[in-house]
Amino acid sequence: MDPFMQNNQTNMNSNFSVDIYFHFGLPGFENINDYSFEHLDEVEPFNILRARHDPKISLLLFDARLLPLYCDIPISEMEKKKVELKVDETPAVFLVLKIDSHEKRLTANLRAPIIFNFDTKMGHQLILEDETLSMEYVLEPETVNIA
Amino acid sequence: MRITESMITRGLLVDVNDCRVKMNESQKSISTGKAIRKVSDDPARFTKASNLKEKYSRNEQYLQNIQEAIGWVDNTSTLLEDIYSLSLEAQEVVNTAANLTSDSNIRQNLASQVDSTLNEMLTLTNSKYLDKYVFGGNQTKGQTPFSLTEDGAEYTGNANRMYRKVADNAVLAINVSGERLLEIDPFTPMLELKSALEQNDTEKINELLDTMNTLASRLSGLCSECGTIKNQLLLSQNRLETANLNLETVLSNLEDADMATAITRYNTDELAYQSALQVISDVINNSLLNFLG
Repeated sequence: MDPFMQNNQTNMNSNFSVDIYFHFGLPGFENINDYSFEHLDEVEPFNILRARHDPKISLLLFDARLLPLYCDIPISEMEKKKVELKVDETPAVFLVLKIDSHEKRLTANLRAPIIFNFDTKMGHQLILEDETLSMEYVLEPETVNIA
Repeated sequence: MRITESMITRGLLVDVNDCRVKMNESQKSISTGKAIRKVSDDPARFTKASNLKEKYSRNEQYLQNIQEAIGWVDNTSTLLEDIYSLSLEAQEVVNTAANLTSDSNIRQNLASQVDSTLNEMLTLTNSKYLDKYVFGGNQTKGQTPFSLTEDGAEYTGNANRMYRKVADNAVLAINVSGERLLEIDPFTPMLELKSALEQNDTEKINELLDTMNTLASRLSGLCSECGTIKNQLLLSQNRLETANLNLETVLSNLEDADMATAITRYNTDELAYQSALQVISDVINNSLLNFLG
């Protein structure tokens, strides 16, 4: 079950961590398969994906549902299969963020989202062919749906 | 052991100096935005960052290889499409010639049209890109790879492929060798068509109808093969760009100072520094007063 949903149902508002297996690793880190997905209240709405055996390897993630322009991005059935999702199931989709300290901004890679199946604890970073999607989309408060 | 005033003062001065060094480090962290600037800041983190940077640079090199390969493949693709178009022209000629009554003058005109198509095809197959023969295999310099004889074409290139490294453990063949083009052999049917038209040989012309259709379809297949190579290159390019973005992200997490932490640390260091100064001035003042008293 989606751990976010589980938290809402039990009215919990606490941190959690889920171990996730990436069968193909991540681009750039092909040899690292085991990660933990960490949700920390203090850094909400961001999440952290951390290599379990090398905690220095960490990525900042952002829930794609909070980005209205990204809601209709189609995820192919073939990609869904990589995290063992069934045809009618929807994956949790997260975007990798980059902290640009020179420009003092946060950018999201819209071309390569990470999909999760929290039931099977599997993840996969896919690469979308749509070249109109920016790899360094600047996150600004007005483009993000944060309550 | 007796502790003298000067020992206390020296000790305090060391503390103050220590605080000043820490403050200086925090200040640098804030102004440069980097938490690690030299190995001694955090050796493990520095090594990790260096490894990732090395991987990033390697990927940049692969991306450059891919960019060059795409240029080569695009050029090959354009040439093959032009050769394919010429084969369609020849197909039209053979259709026209087959439907004509035995008018030898028109067939003579068509023969010279085929001759110029043939020469154009020869020029295309001997094309160069960045001063290298495109269809010469990996023998890209020297004699032109194709020449025409009375019986057909002669190929002096080789069947070797040109490989480019596109990832740590992946190489891609990026060329279509002339040998592959010779397997399809666009020249022999064209030469035969030219000769049949010149001799007004309607039987041979009719025979060539199927041959020209097959030639066009095989050339179209070769264009698709080229498209497949381009797709593989684009796929590798997308993957490497994403890899480098992931690496950049991890690097920035490793290297960039967490601004909030750095500022908090600076404030703490400054507080410690101010306290140390206060203590030292108290001690010195006290001893001075005592001395005066």
